[in-house]
Amino acid sequence: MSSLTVRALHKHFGDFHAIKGADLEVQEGEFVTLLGESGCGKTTTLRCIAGLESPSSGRITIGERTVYDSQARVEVQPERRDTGMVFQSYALWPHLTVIETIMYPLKRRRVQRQEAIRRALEILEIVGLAQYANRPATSLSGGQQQRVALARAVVSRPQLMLYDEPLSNLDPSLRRQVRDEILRLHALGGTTSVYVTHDLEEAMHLSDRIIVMQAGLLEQSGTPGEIFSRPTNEFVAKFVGFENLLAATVTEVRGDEIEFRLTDSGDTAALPASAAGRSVVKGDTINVAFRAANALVHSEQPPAGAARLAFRGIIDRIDFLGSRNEYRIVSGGSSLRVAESERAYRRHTMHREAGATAWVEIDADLVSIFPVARTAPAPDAEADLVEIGSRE
Amino acid sequence: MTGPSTRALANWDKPSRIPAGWRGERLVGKLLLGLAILVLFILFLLPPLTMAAASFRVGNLAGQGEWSIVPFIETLSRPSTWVVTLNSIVLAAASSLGALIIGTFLAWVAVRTTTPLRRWMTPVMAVILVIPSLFYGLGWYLVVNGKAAPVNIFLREVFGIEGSPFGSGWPIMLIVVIGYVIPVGYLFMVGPMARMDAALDDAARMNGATRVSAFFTVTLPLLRPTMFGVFVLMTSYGFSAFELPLLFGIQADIHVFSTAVYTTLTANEAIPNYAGASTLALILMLLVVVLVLIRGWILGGKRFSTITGKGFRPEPKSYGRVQWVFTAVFIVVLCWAGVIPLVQMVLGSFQPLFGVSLGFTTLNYEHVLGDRKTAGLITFTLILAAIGGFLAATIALVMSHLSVRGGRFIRFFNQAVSWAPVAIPGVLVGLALITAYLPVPGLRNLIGTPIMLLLGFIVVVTPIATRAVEGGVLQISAELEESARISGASRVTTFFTVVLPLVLPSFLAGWFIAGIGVAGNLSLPVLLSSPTMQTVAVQAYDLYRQGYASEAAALFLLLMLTVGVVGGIAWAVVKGGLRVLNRTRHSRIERAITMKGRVAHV
Repeated sequence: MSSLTVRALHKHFGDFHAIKGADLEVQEGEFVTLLGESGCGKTTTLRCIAGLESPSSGRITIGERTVYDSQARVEVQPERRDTGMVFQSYALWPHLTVIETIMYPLKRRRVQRQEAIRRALEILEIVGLAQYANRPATSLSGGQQQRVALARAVVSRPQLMLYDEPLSNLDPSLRRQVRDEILRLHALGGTTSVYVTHDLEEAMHLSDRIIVMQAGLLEQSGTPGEIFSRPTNEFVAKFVGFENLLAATVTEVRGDEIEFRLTDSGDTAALPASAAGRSVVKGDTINVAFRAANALVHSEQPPAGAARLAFRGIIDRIDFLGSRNEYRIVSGGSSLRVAESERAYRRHTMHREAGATAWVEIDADLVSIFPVARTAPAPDAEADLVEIGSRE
Repeated sequence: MTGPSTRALANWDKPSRIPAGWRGERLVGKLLLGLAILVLFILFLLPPLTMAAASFRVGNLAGQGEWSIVPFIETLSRPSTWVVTLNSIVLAAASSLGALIIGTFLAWVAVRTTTPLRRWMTPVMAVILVIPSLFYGLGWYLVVNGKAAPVNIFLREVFGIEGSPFGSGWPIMLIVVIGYVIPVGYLFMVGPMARMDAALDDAARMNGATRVSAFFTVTLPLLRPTMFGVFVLMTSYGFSAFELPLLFGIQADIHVFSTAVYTTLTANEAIPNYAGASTLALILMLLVVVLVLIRGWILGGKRFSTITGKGFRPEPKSYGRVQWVFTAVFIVVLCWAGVIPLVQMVLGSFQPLFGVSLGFTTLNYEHVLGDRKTAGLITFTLILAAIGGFLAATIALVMSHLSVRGGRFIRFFNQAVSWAPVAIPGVLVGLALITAYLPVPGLRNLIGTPIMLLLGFIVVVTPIATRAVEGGVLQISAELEESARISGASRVTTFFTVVLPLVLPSFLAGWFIAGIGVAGNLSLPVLLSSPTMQTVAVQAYDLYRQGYASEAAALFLLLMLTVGVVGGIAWAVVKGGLRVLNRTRHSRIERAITMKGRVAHV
C-alpha cells in the first residue's frame, strides 16, 4: 500500500475541459471519496489515476513512483501501476469461472499456480463465495458479481484500490451489504483507496475524507462530518442538503462572534465564529445556510437568545408529506423551507394555514456560513487537500 | 510481490525528450501498427487507386503506357456506358429493396408473432446465406433453361409454349437476385427488430391504432434509419454482382458493371480495353463512395441504431389465423432462396444430358470423379477457402478491434479498407491487383502464383468477414478489457485472454462465411487463375459454357458436399477441443482445491 499524489491534473476531451487542475493527496491507508454529480470529472480523475485515460498535463505519483508526469514525459501503462479497480458494470469476463477470474490478476503477476489458488480461495472465503468457485462469474446475482469483482481487485494486494461507482448498478438493499464488504476488506488490508460516487450517504459511510467535485474542479475536502455540517461554498452546501441559503453581509467580526445583516430582510443577527467553514472578514458577502429539518416553526415570536436565529415570515404553502409537514415561509423576500416533524405538526396543524404569520427558529450550531464570492483560497502550506485553481 | 522500494527504483526514469507514447514497447506497438497499415494499404487501397488511374492510360497492360484522357472521354460518351450504369443501379436498388421488404417482414414475423415455424427462420436463413452465388445461379438456370427444365415442361404441356421464354431477361434476373439476397436482408433486420421495445407497439394500440396501423406508424418508422442503412449496404454490394447477371442477363443483352467489364476484357480485340474497363469501374467506385457517405449520414455516426435500452423483451403476439399465411410466405421464400435451386442442382447432376432428355444416370459423377484433376481441384479450392477465409477473418478481427478502441484515423482507415474492395467490380479485382502490385517489389514476383490468387481472395472476402466479425467485437464492453489491464495484462495479453475467447464464435462464423465466399467465387479466378491453378467455380463455369451443365452441377455438388463434411468435422473438432480444454482447466483447479482441502484436514 502506498500514498497517492496528484498535482495540477488537467484533462481535455477535444474542447471539453473535463478536469481543471486537480491537486489531491491521499495518505497511506486512507479511504478518500470523490463525490459529485455525473459529468463533474470524478470518474475521469479516477481513470487518469488508473492509467486508462491519458491526462493532458499534470503529475501522478503512487507511493514513491511517478506513474504520470507530463513534463518528464512519463506514462506508465495501467497494467504496471499495481492498482486494483472495481468497475460500475462489474466488468466480469463471461468466459471465465469465479475462481479463474480471481486468479487472473495473480497469473498476470506471475504468482505460482498453487499459491494463486490458495490466495483466490482465501479471498473467496472472505467475501463468502467459496461455494461458487467453479461457476461462471456472470451466472451469479448482481451483488455476488460485484463481490467477485471486489475480490479480483484486492487479491493481488495492489498498492492502491480504485472504485468507480461500484454500487450504483445494485439494488438499494444490496448496496448496504456490499458497502460493508468494501469497508471490511479495506480494514483488513488497509489499502489506500480512492472511491468515486454521486451518493452522499455512501460517501459519508465509507470515507475517511471526502472531496466534492464540480465541473472539473475540486470544491472542498474534509472529513464526512466537516463536509456535512460546514460546507465552504454554495455548491457543496446544496449538494449536502442545505435547502435554505440566505444572502448576508458581514458587519462585524469580533472575537468568536460574527455579526451580519441579511440582504433580503435587513435584519441583523450574530453567530459564533465556529459556524464559518472558512474565515470571513468584515464586508464579506456570505451565505447563511441551514437544513429545513433543523428549523422549528412557531406561531408566536420565540424568546430571543444568542444561541439561536429567528426569522419572521408569512406561510406561503404547507405540503403534507406524511412523516413531516413542509412549510414554505416567505421572509423578507426569501423563501425558506422548513420541515416540521410528525410529533410537532400533530399539535399545531390546526392553527396554521397559508397566509398566517410564523417564526422560523434555528439553533446557531446548526447554521453554517460561508463567503459567496470565492476569494482566492489561502494556500496553507501543503494542506492535506486543497481546492484547485480558480473558478472560470 | 516485489516491494514498493524496488519498483520505485526500477521505474526511476530520467526525464526524456521523447513523449511517453513513443518509447519502448509502445514505440514497437506503433511501428507494428504502421507496418500493418502499410500492408493493408497496399493490399486493399492501392488496387482501387491504381485502377482509377488506369482509366487515363493507354497501353498493352493495365495501368501502363501513355497518359491520355481519350479512352476516358470515349467511354463516357458511349451510350452503352450509361445503359450499363442504369442497369446496375436498377438491378442493385430493385433487388435490395425487394429483399429488404421481404426480409424485414419475415424478421418481424419471426420476432413479434407466434407464427408456426418462426423459431426455424433464423437458422434456416443463415444456412441459405452460405450457398455460393454461382451454385445458386446454376440451380435456377437449370430450372428455367432447356427442354428438361421444369418451368419449360410446364409451359409446353399446359400452354404449348416452346423454348425457354423465362430463360433470361429482367424478370428472371430480378427474381433470382432478390431470392439470393433475402437472407441478407432478413439477418440484418432481425437483430434490430428483436431489440425493439414491444411496449412502443402497445402504446400505439392503447392510443387507438390497429395492429396493422401500429406496424406501419410505429414499428416501421422506428426502424427506418436501420433499414436505410441496410438498404445502402446491400445496394453497394449489388453493384459488383457478377455471377447472376452473367447467367441471366448476358443472353438478353442486359449488362451490368461486372459483366460489361468482363466482356470488354475478353472481347476478341487486339488490345484489351483496360482504360475503358477502368472507367466503368470508376463510375461504380463513385456510386459506392456516395452510398457509403449516405449510409454514414443516415446512421449519424452511431455504431448501433439501438431502439431500446435494456431489459425489454419483444413479446411475440398472436395474430390469429393469418399467421398460417405468414408460415406459407416463409415456406415460399425458403423454396425460392434455397430449396428450388438446390433440388434442381441435385436432379440436374443426375440427368444424362442436361436440357435434352429426362431420366437419371450417375454418368456425370463418374465423369467428374474419373477425372484425375477433380480431387486436386477440390483440394486446391478447399485449401484456398480455408486459408483465405482464416486470414480474412483475422484481418477483420484485428481491424474491427483496433477501430473500436482506436482513434478517428484508425476508424476511418478501417472503414476504407472494409469498403474499398466492394467498390471494384468483381472481375476487375484480379486486374486491379495485378496493376497495383506490378510496381511493388516482392509482390511483383507473386503474380501468376497461387499466393496471388490467395491475396485476391482475401481482398474480396474481407469485407464480408468484417460484417460478420465486427458485431461480435462491438459487443465486448471496454470495461472488460480495462479490468484486464488493471489486473496486470498488457494490451497483447488482454487481446488473447479476454477479447479472443469472447469473439471466438463470431470469428469462426466469419471464417466459415468468408471461406464459402472463396469457394464459390467465380469473378476473381475467372481472370486471375491460370490453367494450372483452377478452382472448382472456374471449372464448373467452363463446363457450363461448353454445354455440360449437368457435369458442372455434379462438380459443384461434390464441392459443397466436401465443404459440408470438412466444415462439419472442423466444427466437431473445434467444439470437442474446446470442451476438453475447458474440462481439463476445471478439473485441474478442482483438484487443486480438493488437495488444499485435504491438506487442511490433515
